[in-house]
Amino acid sequence: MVFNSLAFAEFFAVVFVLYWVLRRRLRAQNALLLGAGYVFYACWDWRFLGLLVLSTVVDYGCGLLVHRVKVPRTRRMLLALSMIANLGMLGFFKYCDFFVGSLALLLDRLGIEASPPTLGVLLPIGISFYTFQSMAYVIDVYRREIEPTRDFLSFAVFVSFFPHLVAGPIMQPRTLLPQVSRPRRFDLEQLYRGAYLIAWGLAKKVVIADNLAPIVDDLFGRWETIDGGLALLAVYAFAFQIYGDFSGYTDIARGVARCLGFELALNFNLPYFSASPGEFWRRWHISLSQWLRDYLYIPLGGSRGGRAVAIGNALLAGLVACLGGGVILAIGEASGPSVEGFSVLGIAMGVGLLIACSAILTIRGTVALTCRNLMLTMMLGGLWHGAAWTFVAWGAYQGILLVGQRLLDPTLERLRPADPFARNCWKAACIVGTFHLVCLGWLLFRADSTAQAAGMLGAILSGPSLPPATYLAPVLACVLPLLLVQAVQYASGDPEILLRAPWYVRSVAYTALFYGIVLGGEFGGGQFIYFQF
Amino acid sequence: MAPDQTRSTIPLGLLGALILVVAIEASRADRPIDRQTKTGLAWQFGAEAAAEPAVIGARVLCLGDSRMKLGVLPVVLEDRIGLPAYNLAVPGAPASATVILLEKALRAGAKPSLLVVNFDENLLAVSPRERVSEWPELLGPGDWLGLARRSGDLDFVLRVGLGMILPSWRDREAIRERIVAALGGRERPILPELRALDRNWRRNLGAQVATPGERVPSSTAFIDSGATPRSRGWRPHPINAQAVHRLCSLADRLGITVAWLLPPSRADWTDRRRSLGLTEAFDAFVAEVLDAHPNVVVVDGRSAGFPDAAFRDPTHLDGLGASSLSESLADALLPLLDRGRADDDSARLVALPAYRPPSSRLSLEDMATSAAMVRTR
Repeated sequence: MVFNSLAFAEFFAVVFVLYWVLRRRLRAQNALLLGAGYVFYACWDWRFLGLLVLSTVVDYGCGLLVHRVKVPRTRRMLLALSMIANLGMLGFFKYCDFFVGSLALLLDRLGIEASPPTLGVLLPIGISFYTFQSMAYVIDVYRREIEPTRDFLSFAVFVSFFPHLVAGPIMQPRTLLPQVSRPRRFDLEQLYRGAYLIAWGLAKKVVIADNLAPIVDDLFGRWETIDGGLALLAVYAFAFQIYGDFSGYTDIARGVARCLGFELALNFNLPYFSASPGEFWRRWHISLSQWLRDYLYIPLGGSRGGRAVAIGNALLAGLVACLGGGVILAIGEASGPSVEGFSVLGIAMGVGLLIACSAILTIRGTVALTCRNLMLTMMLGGLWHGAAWTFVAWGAYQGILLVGQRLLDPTLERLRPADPFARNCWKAACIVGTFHLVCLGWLLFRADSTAQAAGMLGAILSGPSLPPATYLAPVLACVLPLLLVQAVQYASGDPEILLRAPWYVRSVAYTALFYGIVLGGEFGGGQFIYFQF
Repeated sequence: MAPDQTRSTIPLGLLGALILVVAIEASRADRPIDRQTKTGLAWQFGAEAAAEPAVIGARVLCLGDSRMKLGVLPVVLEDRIGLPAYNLAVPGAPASATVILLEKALRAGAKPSLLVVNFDENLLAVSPRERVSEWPELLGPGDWLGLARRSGDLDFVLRVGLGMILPSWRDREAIRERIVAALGGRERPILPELRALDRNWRRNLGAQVATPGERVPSSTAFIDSGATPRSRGWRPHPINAQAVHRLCSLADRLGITVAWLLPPSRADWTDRRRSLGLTEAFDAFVAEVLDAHPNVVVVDGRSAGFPDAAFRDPTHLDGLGASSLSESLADALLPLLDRGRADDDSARLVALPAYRPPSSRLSLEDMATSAAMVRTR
């Protein structure tokens, strides 16, 4: 039941009416939300409903016990239990076959006959989102940042609240749990603003993302036959497809939640207007960035010494070794066994990899630790997105950008012009530059293999020509109106500026939005990209 | 970010947008042909024709799907029977749509003595949902409520309802094509064909006269397709089966005889249907209807031996084939019109005589002529 389907509209209409009929009975409202969440999830695959319930029960119990128990060691064990349960589920369903497959490939390349068994299990939808959110609750209770809730119903609603259940935003317990526990008031203004978000999100999804999807699929599908211009267009189109898809989902989720009296976190804040990679990650998938910062980057020790540093070093070295090994294997695969040069190159790369890993293991000192933690966070963030080495490579690339920015920041600050006009030009150049750095990352993200990413990049760098109008026109038709609206939002610093415009401007804008969706939307039941994560 | 505190509590922007949308949609109610699709045009034509004088005055009314639309020519029936006739069949129409068309015609004042109907086995087997885009063309509010009650499928009726209240939604594909064509400084590529179809149907009392010798190139793929016919375990969709019975009961109440035509199909297609067991299952349903409704007569043209040359594709006749079928059919219908109901059970199963080339030299405008005429206009 995707948000852009009539089935969801019918489901939501029923829930909405019942929900506000019960407005004076909080527990009944919450029970309805829980039931709706489970029905919504079961519509995807009822067999995985048990995982959602398991995660809920384990973390509810662990939260209460962690709070009640005073012995540090027992508290740590309870925290570990929660993490093992959640990460275990995630690892089993999402990463098990990936690591086994990678091992089999490695053994095969080394000439060792082995066929380790794969599980062949389906990925339960939304598992990366709800396990992270549920786990965050226990960590917050462990850190004594929040009080655990004793009301199981409230906690279950917190985990399974259907608007954000399958693709976020990943809500912080301290933000969402109080909203679940306190009475909600029907507010026409809130409903109005919710409907606006739903409409805007729907436009991003069905008009922009779903119209760009076939173009992207076509061009990436025949990447070997397209020239640099089309390859560049494919990357640009994918950048806006994934943005429209994911931010559209989030807007609908936030709009639906608003209609029910909840406020979900802003997850996208005009990310393609970022002037640096760091700013991009403060504007793109904000809830994941915050989660990674709060529950991974900071616990890794920041610039502190001690055991966290050693663990972080070992983790990063391991990831880099795996990724490097993957790259060496991929190059070997692409070169073919007959190329003798490869053995020299492979040995050289292997030695380089060993040196790099050894260097990582010795990392100490503030700047080095910060950079290391950034790399580690982004590589694990990449792996969170999908069980493939291309995602780890994408994460590593993002890490390199963030580290590079941190190291270059003092120099860039000195270069920044003082004159206001020149400063604006500088900022515009930074925005364009950052967008292209991000696009390069999207190439890694979307490519099915490193060979494809390298091939398309090579085509782009060989000198892009103007793509034919049959490809260019639809991409521009999707992207330009979005950029125009977002430029106004960016210049005003207000993503909801339309809600504050005069009524006649809003009337015309809403009508245009309505006809944009009705006439320009694709309603073929396209799934949201982030559901696979 | 907090909303503007100075704004009115009445959502003026939303109200203004609603008024604009209502005004735009109302302006689209009277729709020119260039906002139509091919199937949409056929359904719209049927819905509008049902209330036209030619249908109201018809004594022989043909209803059904594309096999009726292309197979039975009212001009030929009129010539041989001597009674006004009209072909109200709609391509792709399931039985439930056929009943609604009949009800529309009756409400408009039609008083037919004889209904000639066909119900294609493929269309009988599938859910009315399959035509969700076309239903809005046909239904008024009352018909929609009736469909909602009978189908019990909330999702389906909501989709249809959306198409009814929002003409822009219903016509979105055509509007998109039109915009793309206009950007290229052209008209929609399908527009000449739509104009030709519209003209051909008007000239031929609702029938479509396919150009003699015209062949649809995909016919071989069509017959080999695993998807059609839906043969194994064939049975009519409950809503369609109910609609067939409803049509027969309605006709019975009004004293109208129903001639259920089983039209001929190309030999390879007929053989394939038989080998898949489809013919047997379909015949069982026909027998069930025949048992339940004494006013129904089955006119079976499947064994009439129509040559391959008479077909434009495996199931649809070309203009000459249609003339021949219409002549045979008219001869088979004459006794029914004379006697009213069949006297005995054997007279309720009429086999059409063996194929013979059409004898009449009536002037029929075929699709090629219609296309040429709309081009020169």
